[in-house]
Amino acid sequence: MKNIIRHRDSAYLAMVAPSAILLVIITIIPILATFYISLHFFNPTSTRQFGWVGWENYGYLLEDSRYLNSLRVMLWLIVIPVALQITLGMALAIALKEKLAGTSWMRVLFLLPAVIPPAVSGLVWKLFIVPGAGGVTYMGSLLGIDLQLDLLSSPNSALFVIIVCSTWVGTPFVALLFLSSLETISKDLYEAAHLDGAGWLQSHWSISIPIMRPVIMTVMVFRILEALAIFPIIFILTGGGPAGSTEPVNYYAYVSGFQYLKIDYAATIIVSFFVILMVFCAPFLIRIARAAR
Amino acid sequence: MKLSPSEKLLCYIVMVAFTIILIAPIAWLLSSSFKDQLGIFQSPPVLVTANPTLDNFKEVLGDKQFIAAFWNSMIIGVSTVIITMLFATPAAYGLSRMRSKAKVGLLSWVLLVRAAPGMVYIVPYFIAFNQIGLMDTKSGLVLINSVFTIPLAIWIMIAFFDAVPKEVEEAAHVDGATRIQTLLRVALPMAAPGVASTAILVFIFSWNEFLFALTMTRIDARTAAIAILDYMAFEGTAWGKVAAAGILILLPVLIFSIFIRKYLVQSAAGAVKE
Amino acid sequence: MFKKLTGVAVAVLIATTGPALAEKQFDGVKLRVLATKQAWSDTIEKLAAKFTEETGATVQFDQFSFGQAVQKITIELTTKSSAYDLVFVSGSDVAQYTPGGFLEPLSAHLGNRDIVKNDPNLADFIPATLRLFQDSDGEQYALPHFAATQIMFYNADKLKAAGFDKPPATWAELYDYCGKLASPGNPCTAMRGKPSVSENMWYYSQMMYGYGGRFFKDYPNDMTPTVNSAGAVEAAELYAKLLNDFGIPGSVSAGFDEVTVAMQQDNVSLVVEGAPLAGRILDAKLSKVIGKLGFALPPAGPKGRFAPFAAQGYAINAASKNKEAAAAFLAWSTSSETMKQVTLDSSFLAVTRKSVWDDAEFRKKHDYNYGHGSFAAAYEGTLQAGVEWYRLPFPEFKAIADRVGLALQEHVVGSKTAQQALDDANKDIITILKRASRL
Repeated sequence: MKNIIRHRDSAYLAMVAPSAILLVIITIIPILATFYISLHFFNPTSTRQFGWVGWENYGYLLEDSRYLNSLRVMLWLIVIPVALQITLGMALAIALKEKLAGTSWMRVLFLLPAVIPPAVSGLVWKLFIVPGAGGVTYMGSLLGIDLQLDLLSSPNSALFVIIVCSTWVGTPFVALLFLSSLETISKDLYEAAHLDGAGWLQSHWSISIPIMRPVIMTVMVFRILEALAIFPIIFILTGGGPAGSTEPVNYYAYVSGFQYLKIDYAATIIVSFFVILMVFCAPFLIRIARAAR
Repeated sequence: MKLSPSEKLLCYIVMVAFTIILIAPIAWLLSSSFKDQLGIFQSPPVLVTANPTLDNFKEVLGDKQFIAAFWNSMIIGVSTVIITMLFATPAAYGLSRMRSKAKVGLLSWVLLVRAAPGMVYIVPYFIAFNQIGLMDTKSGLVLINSVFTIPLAIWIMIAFFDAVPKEVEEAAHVDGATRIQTLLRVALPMAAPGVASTAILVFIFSWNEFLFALTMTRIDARTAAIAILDYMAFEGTAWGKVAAAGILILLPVLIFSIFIRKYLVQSAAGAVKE
Repeated sequence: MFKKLTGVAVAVLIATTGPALAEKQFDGVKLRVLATKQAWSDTIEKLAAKFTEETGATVQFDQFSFGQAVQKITIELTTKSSAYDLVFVSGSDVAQYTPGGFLEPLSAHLGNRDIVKNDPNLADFIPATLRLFQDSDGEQYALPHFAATQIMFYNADKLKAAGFDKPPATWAELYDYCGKLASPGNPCTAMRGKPSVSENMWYYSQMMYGYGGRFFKDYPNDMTPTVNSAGAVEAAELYAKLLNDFGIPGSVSAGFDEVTVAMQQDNVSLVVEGAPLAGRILDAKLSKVIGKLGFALPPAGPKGRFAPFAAQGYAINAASKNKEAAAAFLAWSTSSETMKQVTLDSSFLAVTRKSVWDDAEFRKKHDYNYGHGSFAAAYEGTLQAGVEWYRLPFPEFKAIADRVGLALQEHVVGSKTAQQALDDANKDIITILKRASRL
């Protein structure tokens, strides 16, 4: 019997093999190459030749105030948007679940931000906040206030704009994911709670959220990964500025590599980024994969 | 469970408030796309301009470089879908049916690859593309897109193949069909809606890709999402054109996602179930 | 008789056009140019039909925004890609590319009459603009078409209304003027705040020099960075005050575009900005300040006046496969006739040839004399006062200036004091220099 299973699996393995081999070539090898480059000096604009420098680049990393700042920015851009997406998404899912009159079209609408090209999302928000000509000024004028805020000019408000945009992109889809999970929870559980005297919100607190905890964790991991990959929105809205206030690690890597051609240093930043990513996310991802079996 | 009126009100407030936040910026984009330069900087600004114009759309559609970029996006998107589905469909089916321990390892790996942001790969791809002449080519971008779309498609489709009843397949086996034949004649037709929606999702991913389209192109292979930057750069941002181009870029994905709205959440939900 | 004559005429026609039709010098060559979006490139691209007619080579311009273009050029050159034959370069970029051999030396091509039909007459160029594109041995790597400096554009009516009958002569005076010229909703000036060697540093460096600051202790002998000297800090503080107290909204990330539009639309009283932008500021169709402006030298600091100076041009990619045709095009596009034609067809006026500056038609079109002095005269005057070492010619300068630009922005937004920001920049510059084995 065991032999038969093995035999069957080998046939399936053959179907997986082409993708597996392709993925090794297009993912593992590049990652190893990046690490290799990070141990060398490599700046084509410099008169200094390509050559081995060992861990030197990593040493510079630790002294580089711009890098340390970009770590801090990355943390902000993960923690706040993801927390907002999860809480707002849950609130919206609970509200949507009731299927109140006149709300079904919202379910379709909620798909929108998730599929809009991120570059366009950036543009949408950039246009919305243009001082004088943007929707913010318009909404202010409706309330009789002259709102000419130049939000992208100061570090804190620029970071705020990025956080708003990133939350705007992610929240509706998180809500829909939570909704589909909420709808699988048996009605009986809520009825039972109701009989025990629990109110509507209370029963969601004591029933829905504990049941959905694994789903929440999973969604969170995926949202963190999305937040790490944030690039087009920053590229278009702020270019990492002002004064580096919206420049997370991957953006700094881009600037180092493509603006200053410090290829080696860009590679070093990327390796550090990849390590951070793996340390925090890999355990969760492996758990998710195991559960999907 | 019946809601009290005040609870209902709370629900409405939450939903309406968020819906306004959701729609407002997009409505503003739409409104601006019909304004001329004067209308855009009118003080105070208005939502519906007194002199609506189609000039922005005409100019964008008449811009050869933008149209070329738009077609590039189409061609790259379709090619990415074909390549991705060719690799991912058998892989997803195989993984769905596998029972041995290798499966968890493979799944974890697929998931890790899917998780890594594009920036992780950029340096070696950039160097390699310069060496082997893939810089500024559509095939180059298709290759890079596949790095992300193949794991994504595998991961999503596993759930769809899992849902195909095994009994039907057993019957096919008894009739002497090979594994590939079973996949093509039995499993694939039954999972067809899911597979099709995955293909559309792959297209959307490719259409939206920004980082590599920005760094690995000059003019020839440039995609629409990059070409739009032209309107932001020269002689002050031409907001009317930016808005019109933005609408044109999001139109295809909008139409597609309405087609697959049922599967969009289902496939993503499949990916998050535990 | 008539028949005979036409026969001769036809024969003559065939004799003159025949060989040319059959075989032009660069038939089939396709030149590709990596350019910034500017009036110059737009106009030259249109005029290039004439070059194609003469030589057979066609020319395609790929135009990007300034920042994107500069980034792409660095990448194309240093990866030795042959996709582009000609690339845009700033004078300060040459040092970045010549050590690696990324640019084609020009003198041999320009002296070869089989390639470049007419003598390019290099003596006609403003000498400093040529020198910016030479290496230490005097080899030429690009031909300049664009001579840049900054002048003061001021709205004479507004100054008069505030009680000033002449423009401010020093930075301190400029700040005092603004105190009178600005009111809520009416900023006094617009200035570049975007952190980059070609944006806020292009403005600030003259203030730093004017207050006695320098990038290095004794360039090129002692490369110890001194961007945090007392003079530099004083200049940075004044720069930030000027920007925050009297600048247009969005100054923190403004580039030359925002400044140009602010002046053009009459939103400010005065700006110190690139003289070449006069063509756009006074654009016949868009400008609201035609007839109101006066022009003056940029302000001075306590240690003197240091007018910015730079030049832009096109260079031949060393990896190009069409170097000869590229050289012919370069010479043609910067010839006196072509350059003059561009200025007449467009708002471009930053010419580099003395003969065009002296040309009556050019003077007439770009004189802009509204009773407060001639623009062309003010421009020519500042070009004389321009400092050739405004940007220093060594490969790491761009990264260093960008770093100072960032420090400046950090101070402007208030996240650091000027001293702190420049101290941090100085420290990072030491690292940059050490890595390049210059310290």
